[in-house]
Amino acid sequence: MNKEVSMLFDIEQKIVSRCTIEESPVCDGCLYLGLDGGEERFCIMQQQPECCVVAKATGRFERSAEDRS
Amino acid sequence: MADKNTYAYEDELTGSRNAPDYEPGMPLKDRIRLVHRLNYSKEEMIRHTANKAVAEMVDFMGKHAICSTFDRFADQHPQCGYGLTGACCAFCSYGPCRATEKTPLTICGKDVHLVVAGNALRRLAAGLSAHGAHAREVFIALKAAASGSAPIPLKCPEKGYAVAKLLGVETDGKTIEAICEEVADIFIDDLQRSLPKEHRTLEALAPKERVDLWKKLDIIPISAYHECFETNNLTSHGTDSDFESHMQAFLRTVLAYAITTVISTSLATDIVYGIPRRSRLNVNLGSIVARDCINIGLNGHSPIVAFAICDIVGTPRIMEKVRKTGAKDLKLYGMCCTGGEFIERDLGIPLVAMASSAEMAVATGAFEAIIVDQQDVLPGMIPVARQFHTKVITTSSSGRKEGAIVLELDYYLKNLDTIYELAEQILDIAIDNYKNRDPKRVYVPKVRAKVEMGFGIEEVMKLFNGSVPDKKVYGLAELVKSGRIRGIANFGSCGNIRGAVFERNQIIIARQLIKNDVLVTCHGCSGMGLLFAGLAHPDASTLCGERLREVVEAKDIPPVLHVGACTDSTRAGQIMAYTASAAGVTNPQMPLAMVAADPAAEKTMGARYAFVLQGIETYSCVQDNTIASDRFMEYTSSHLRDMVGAAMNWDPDPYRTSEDILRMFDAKREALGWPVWDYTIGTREEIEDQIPDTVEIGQNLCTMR
Repeated sequence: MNKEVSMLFDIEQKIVSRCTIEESPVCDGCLYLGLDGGEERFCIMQQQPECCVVAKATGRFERSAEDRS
Repeated sequence: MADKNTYAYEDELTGSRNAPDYEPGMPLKDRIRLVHRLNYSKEEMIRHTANKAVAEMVDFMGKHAICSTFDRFADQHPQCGYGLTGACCAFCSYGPCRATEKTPLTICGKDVHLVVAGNALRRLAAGLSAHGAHAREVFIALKAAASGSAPIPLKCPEKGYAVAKLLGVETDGKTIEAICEEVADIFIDDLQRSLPKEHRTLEALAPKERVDLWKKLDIIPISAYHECFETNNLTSHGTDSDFESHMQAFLRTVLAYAITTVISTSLATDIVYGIPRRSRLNVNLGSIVARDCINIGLNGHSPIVAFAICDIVGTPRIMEKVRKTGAKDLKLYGMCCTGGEFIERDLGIPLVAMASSAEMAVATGAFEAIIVDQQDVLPGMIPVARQFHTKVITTSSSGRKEGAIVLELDYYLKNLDTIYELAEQILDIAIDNYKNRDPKRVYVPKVRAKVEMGFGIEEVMKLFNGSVPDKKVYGLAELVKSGRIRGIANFGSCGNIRGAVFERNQIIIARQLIKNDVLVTCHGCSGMGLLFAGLAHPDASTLCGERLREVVEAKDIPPVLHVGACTDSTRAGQIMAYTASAAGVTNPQMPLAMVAADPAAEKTMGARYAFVLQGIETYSCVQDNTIASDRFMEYTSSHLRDMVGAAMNWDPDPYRTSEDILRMFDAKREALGWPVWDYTIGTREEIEDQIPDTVEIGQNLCTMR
């Protein structure tokens, strides 16, 4: 196991692939966001940030747009 | 589940009692002798407990004529044998009656089996009411936070969304606040309903295989309130006198307890107050700051006011008041399960005591105030506080204490909208009381353990490749199947003074299990014992078997994962069920166990059987006043296994109990075709005498000799 890349054992990775995601402001502080060894972001809710239902329901898109402006 | 004659190692201390083994058909006097003998003196507790801080404090209290739980326990000897075995019925004024060989029927005509089942049922209903009252307050707080009727922040709306999806709430076009309010309404309806209808939380939150089985057994509750109501009705004078009917009500009440007052409560608490977050801190009495600090204990179970206090501590306005007293800081400390709610949420609030040891914390003389809500706040704490400057302040109309200051949420919760004003009033009293502290009377044992907290289901999913929508923890399932982890055991429930040495049994069992590659989760007061014993820190990996050690070191986690307060058995149940589901098996097929080593409060009746009904074998070392009835003993230890795939296991010997669990795990692994490897039972010297490096025992700071 390479701890730099993932904290998962090979058998944990093989059984199902993780939902990895790109960095996005709508994920900041989200309880479903995983950060693995600082290398990889993943989502245990299996959502991609641009169409995340949790972000939509909780108004994160509006808030992150306000932050950008 | 194991042959009692072939244990690798047996407990010398339990063996030294010469208690007869339980055998069906044995005379009642021998059953009474059995439970009478399985007791330990205060001196034995001081010598054998794993919690050296409590041992030191009890010794200190004895030397200074401060009465503790252990003194009151000694004063109660010998306890009533009929009560201890469950053969006494005191429901109506015909009685109390006892059902014995000489007088087999009570005045109304109940036999011993009905008496024991009735007692168990009423105890279960009391536990349901206790967690139910806690549930009600949290659900109302969730509704108030979501609707904006009280200034309580909704700290984790994301979890509200996920729970709403689980419950089948339509979310499109609704605000998150409206969604969370709807969740609260569903929880409240399943708590209080009198008309039968679909139990939405049960259908949504339990595994389908379990729901189908419970329906087949006809044990789906109407609501928590109704099952409590019905349990008391059914056991009332001349009403139900059928053992099977009593037991059916028992199982129905357990489900109401498990689903509404535990699972829904834990979920609602997460939505309002936030989910667990990982953090490292120190616990036990040695974490108390002895000098220049205003100390406040938060004790009980229903943390509504306590969270409001936590929200405003540290604000400039409060800290200005603190500085004016000459103190350098103000610190909050957790006790019992209100403490459990805080320690898991990365709020920097150390846990210093469980229910029975809270009075030892008070006897340090270092507390300006103990803020108590409800449940497991022992009345014996009040006279201890009176011997010091410590003020006890009650915040729940359900949990007042004679002589305490009452600053509470009123009975109708009409003042929920001014909860922060209430919190500040409470803090003002504590801050003002600092001037009354006598530093010469402060005695803080320098014993503490380092721990890592915050392993909610979300964290476990991140660690072990889980998926919230799939409700599966894939990685953990693979680690169990492949043989890196032998099984998963959860430790919960209370701690008892009777029938056990305080905080000894669960430590022995947990150490034996991690030594044999079992991943442990823990919560509630029994779980706190594992924290105080230093098992919940990554450095405790040195106590693990090679296979488990590889896993916890790779992930930098403790071998004992703390999941929260007593109602957070929810999280342990989720971890187990989601792992079984990912492995493609049911709970009863999976190597899973629940350990409630020393159950005490009424709530532990439901807490243990909730795991049994989930199909998880459950183990205790203290007998819960049911041993007079062979029929009850057979039903719970064997018949239930045929019905739901798991049962209650009782053995006072923690070494034998550990081996029983390991054997059960191996039998299940073998049946599934998963790898099985030898286990080894550690000796007393290894398990009890070697204190882990994660526990710091320093020189005492005592100023009062």
